[in-house]
Amino acid sequence: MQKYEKLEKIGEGTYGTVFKAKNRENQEIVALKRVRLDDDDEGVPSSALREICLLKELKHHNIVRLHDVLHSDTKLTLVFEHCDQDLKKYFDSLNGEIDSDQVQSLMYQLLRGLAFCHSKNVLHRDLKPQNLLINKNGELKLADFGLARAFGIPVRCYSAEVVTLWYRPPDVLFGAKLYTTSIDMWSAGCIFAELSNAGRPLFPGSDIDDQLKRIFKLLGTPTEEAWPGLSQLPDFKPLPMYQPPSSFSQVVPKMTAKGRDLLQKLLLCNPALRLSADEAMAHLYFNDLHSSIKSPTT
Amino acid sequence: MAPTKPSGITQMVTRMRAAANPSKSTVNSLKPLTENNSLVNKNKRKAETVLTSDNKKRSALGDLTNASSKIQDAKRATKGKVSSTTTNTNLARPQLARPSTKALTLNLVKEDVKVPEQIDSEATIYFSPENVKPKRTLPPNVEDFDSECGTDPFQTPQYAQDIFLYFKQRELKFIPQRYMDQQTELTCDMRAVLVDWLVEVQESFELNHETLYSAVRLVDLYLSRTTVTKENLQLVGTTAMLISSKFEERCPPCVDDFLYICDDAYTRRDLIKMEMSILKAVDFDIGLPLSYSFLRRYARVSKASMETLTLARFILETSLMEYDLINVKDSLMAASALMMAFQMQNSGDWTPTLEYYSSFTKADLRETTHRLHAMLVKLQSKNLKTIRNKYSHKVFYEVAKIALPAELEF
Repeated sequence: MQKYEKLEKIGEGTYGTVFKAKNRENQEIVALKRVRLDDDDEGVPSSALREICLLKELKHHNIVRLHDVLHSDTKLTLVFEHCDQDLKKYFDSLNGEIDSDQVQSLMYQLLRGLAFCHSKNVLHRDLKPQNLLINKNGELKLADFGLARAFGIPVRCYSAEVVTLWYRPPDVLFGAKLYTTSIDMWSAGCIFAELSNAGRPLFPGSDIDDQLKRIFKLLGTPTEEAWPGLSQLPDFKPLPMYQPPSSFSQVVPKMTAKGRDLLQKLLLCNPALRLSADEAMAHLYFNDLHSSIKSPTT
Repeated sequence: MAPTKPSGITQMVTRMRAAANPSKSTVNSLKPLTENNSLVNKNKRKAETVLTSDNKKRSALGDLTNASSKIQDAKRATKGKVSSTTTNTNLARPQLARPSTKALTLNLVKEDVKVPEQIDSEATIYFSPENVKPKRTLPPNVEDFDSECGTDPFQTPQYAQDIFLYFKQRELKFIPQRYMDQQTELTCDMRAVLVDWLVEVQESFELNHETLYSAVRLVDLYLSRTTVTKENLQLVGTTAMLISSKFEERCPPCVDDFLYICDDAYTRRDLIKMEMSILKAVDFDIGLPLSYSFLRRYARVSKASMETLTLARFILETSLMEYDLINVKDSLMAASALMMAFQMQNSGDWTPTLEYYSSFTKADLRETTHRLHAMLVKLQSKNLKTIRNKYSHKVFYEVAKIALPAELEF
C-alpha cells in the first residue's frame, strides 16, 4: 500500500469502503476500494470477484477504469480511476436547473456505456445516479459493478433481488428471475426522467407495493394483453387498474416531444418491448447531439 | 488406473474416488449431499453472495429444459387465449386502449407492435427500427437465426452475434500451455481422475455446466503456471470449482461444502489461500469463453435436435478429461463435437449457416473431429465412468449408448 497515499474516504460501495488516494509515483489521483478478507469467511466475495473480472473486460470511455488489483492476506484493494463526483452529487449542485444539452449528453453516454456492457454479455443490474460518475470534462462513467453479472445466450434464471428499488423494473418487482438486458434499460429510463427534472427521482417508492403503484399510476396498470405472461410472474399480484395520464408533459415538463417519446419507449412495463441501448441511441432525440459527444470513443 | 502408476498416487486417487463415488460403501462422502440437500441449503444461506432466499433446488438438467421455453410456452398459450377472448376482455375493460387483434398476435415482436401504453399520440414518428443500421449482412444460403429469434428476448438476438464474435476473439487469451512435462508429480491420468470427480461435484451440487467447464479451464491455466503436488491437485480442483461457482452461480455452494466433499482433507485456510493463488495466477480474469456456450450456439443456429445437442455435449464433456486436447480452441472443439455427433447419428452436415456462424469450414473440423473419434474409441476401455453414466440416463436421451462408428466418413 506504499504506492498510494490515502487522502479521504469517499463512500461505501456494494461491498467495502472507497477512498480517494494519490499514486506516489506519478501523482495520479485514484479511487481505492477496499475489501476485507477474513479467514473464517467465504474468501473473496463473489460481488468483488465479479466486479474485478467484468471490469477487466470492459474497457470503454463510459465505464470506470479498473487500473489495478492489490492483494494482501487480509484485504483486496481495487484501484479505480477517480472521478470528481457521481450523478447524485452533481444533481445536488444544480439547484433544480439543468441544461437540456447536458441531459442529452449524459443520457447518450449512459446508453453508450450500457450498449458496450450488453454487447460484451454483461448486465449491470444496479444503475442509479450514485453509480454513475462524472468527471471534470462532463464524461459519464458507469461504476459499481458489484451486482453485475455475465449472462449466457439464452439467459438463465438469475437473482430477482437486484437493482435498487426506485430503479427496479416492474417485471423484477413481480419477482421475475428470467430477465435480460432490458433490466438495465428500465433503470436508464428512470434516470433519463431524473436528469430532465434536475435530480427529482421519478418513482421514489417506499416498498415493493408502493413502487409498483407509483409506476402504474404513471404508465397505467399493465394487462395480460399488453404484457403476455404477466400474471405468471412469481410474485404477481393484481393491483388497482390505474388510468395513465394523457401526456408525459406533466411528468417531465422540460423535455421535448422527442425526449418524451424516448422516455416512454424505455419505460415500458413489458420488458420484451423496451428499447435496447443501441436502439435508444438511434432515436431521433439524439439527432442534434453535438458531434464531439457522438464520435465513437471505444 | 494403469498398473504402472507410482504407488504414491494411490492415496490421492483413493481419496478422490472415495469422495467422488457415493455408491462405494466404504466412504460415502458425497452421499449426504445427494440424498439430502439440507446441508447444502443450510450452508448456502450463509454465503454472502446469496441475494435470494430461494432455496428451490435447481435441476441439474435445467439447461436441457431450456429456461426460456417455459416462458415461450406461456406466451404462446396466452396469445391463443387472448385472441379467443378478445371481445370479452375488451368489454370488461373498456377504458383501456384496445390493441388490435393484429397487435395481439404480434405483440412480442417489438417492431410490429403499436404499444398499448402509448401516451403521447405524436410519439411513434421519432423512432422506427429502420433507424437502427443493420450490423452486418448475411451471405446467401445462410439462415438469419438471430432475426428468427426476434420474438424471444431471452435469446438476446440484438447482441448475440456481437457477443459470439467477442468470445471468438477472446478465447485465444485462455488457451493453456501444455504443462505436464514441467509438473514433477502429476500425470495425465491423475488429471483425468480429477475431471471425472469434478463432474460428480457438478452433479451433486446441481451446478451449471458452465461452472464445470470454467473450473476445468481454471485448473489447466493454473497448472500451466504453477507446479502442484499430487496431494494438492484435488485442492486446486475444488477451489477452481468454488471460484467459478462464485462467478457463475446464483447460489454458489459455500466453502464448507467444498471442504466437505474433499472429505476434510484440506482446511478452510488451505482453500482460501489457494483461491487467491489461482486468482493471482489468472490475473482475476475468469470470464472465460467456453466450448459449452459455443456448442449451444452452433446447435441452435443449425436447429439440431435436443438429442444431437446432448450427444455433442457428452462428447464435449468427455473431452474435458483429455489432457491432449487442452490447447484446442473452445470454438473449434465445440464445432468438432457437433460434427462428431452429426456423424454418429447421421443427423446433419456442416451447412453454410453453420459455416457462417462458426466461421469454420467442414475441412477445418477434420483433424479435431478425428481426435474426438479416437478419444471415444479409447474411452470404451477406460475406468472413469462418471460422464458415461451421466449421459446414459434417460434425461440425457441415453446418448452415451449410441454406437460409435469404427471409421469416420470424412
